[in-house]
Amino acid sequence: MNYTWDFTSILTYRHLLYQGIGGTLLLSGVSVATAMAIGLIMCLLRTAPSKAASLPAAAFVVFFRNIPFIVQLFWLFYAIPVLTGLQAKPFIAAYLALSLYGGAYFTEIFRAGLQGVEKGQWEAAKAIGLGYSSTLKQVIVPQAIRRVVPPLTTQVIELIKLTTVASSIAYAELLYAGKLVADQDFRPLEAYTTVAILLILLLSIVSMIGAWCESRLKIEAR
Amino acid sequence: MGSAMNYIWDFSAVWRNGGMLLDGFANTALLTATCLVLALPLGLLLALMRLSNARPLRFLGLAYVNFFRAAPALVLIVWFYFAFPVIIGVEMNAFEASILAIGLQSAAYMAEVFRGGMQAIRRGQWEAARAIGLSSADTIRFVILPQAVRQMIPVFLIRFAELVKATTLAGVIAYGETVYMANELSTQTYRPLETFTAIALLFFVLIFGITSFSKLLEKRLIAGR
Repeated sequence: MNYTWDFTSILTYRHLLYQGIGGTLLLSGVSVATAMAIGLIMCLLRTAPSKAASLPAAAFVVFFRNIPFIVQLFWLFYAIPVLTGLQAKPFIAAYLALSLYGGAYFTEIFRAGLQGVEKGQWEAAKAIGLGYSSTLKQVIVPQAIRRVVPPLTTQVIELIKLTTVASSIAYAELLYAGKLVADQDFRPLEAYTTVAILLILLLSIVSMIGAWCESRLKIEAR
Repeated sequence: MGSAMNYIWDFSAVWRNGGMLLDGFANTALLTATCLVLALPLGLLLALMRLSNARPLRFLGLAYVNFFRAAPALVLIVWFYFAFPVIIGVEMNAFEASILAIGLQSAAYMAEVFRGGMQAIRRGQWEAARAIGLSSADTIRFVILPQAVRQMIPVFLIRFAELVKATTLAGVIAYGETVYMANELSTQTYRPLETFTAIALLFFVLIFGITSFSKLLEKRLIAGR
């Protein structure tokens, strides 16, 4: 209990932490964007009337959601050289793994959003002569978005939290930067506490953005 | 592109050393079970705090749940392994650090399962219990929990599957669970792809089994209502 905290090593090696923040933001940004795109496409396939489209999409969701993320990450890390003949870069492996894993979760969120819109909305749109794609675009999606924002925010946060796992294949994100700083001065308490605080701050900002979107989309607010 | 076609899968090394992977699974099971022993009572306590009438208790419960749900699991694991011992002045092995990190986090998620289950019980049940003179502790114990637990089981199973997934991160601080053993096996046999394919399939069967069972129970509960 007599331990005196000393953050000078953190300040000395802050450039490592800056790089770590950059690494986390880059990996989070591209992975979240790609995962959402995958989620949208898979959701459309999953809800399609044709079994040939919906079954593979269902299998995709079940497969990626039921295997621990770190196992998928290592698998891809080792599979990339075998499949492409190229050396696996930690960033590429982490990016692919996060996009696929996140994509499976986003698929289900989008699907729940679409299916949460009452059946009568479809029927009403049909009655006034709208086609499938205009019904989706002008009637269903605007209503679905409102339901989708809260779970979407939660899942984006979960995905950003998972970027820390990329440190295990030596991708230079925040947790990895924390390890580098801790090894420099043997001040693990200060280094890892700083990393934890920085990550929680980042996640709080994302959570606030989500809450802001939610309030903007509320009908009463307009 | 040629190499993809040329790669010859060979699982014989994985079979020959299957014992290592089994050891890993035993350690995964041990860690999961120990975390559960910590997370269930603590989760129930936190849920009761969050539903309590006392403001400080409600606030503490909420702060705990929010903090542990916000922190990335791996950061908690690494923090408890490398940083926490500096504060308490006692060395901690990878198993102990993993129990604290994963168990304390799981408690936050379990608290929300308990709270959700108890809040789903209709108000009339509370009022009826009060009318027949039960104290609030007795109401929770004899009226609310027995009904809530039944409804909680499907969500609890999903959380349990998430717990199993979280334990795979303990390999990062060299706790000998399945992923750690798979990495060890890979360096010995130079067959990482086969090794990780094998454990991915094993995990899939286990976790998909749990989540499917959860869905089945949920359907039954809805049908039984």
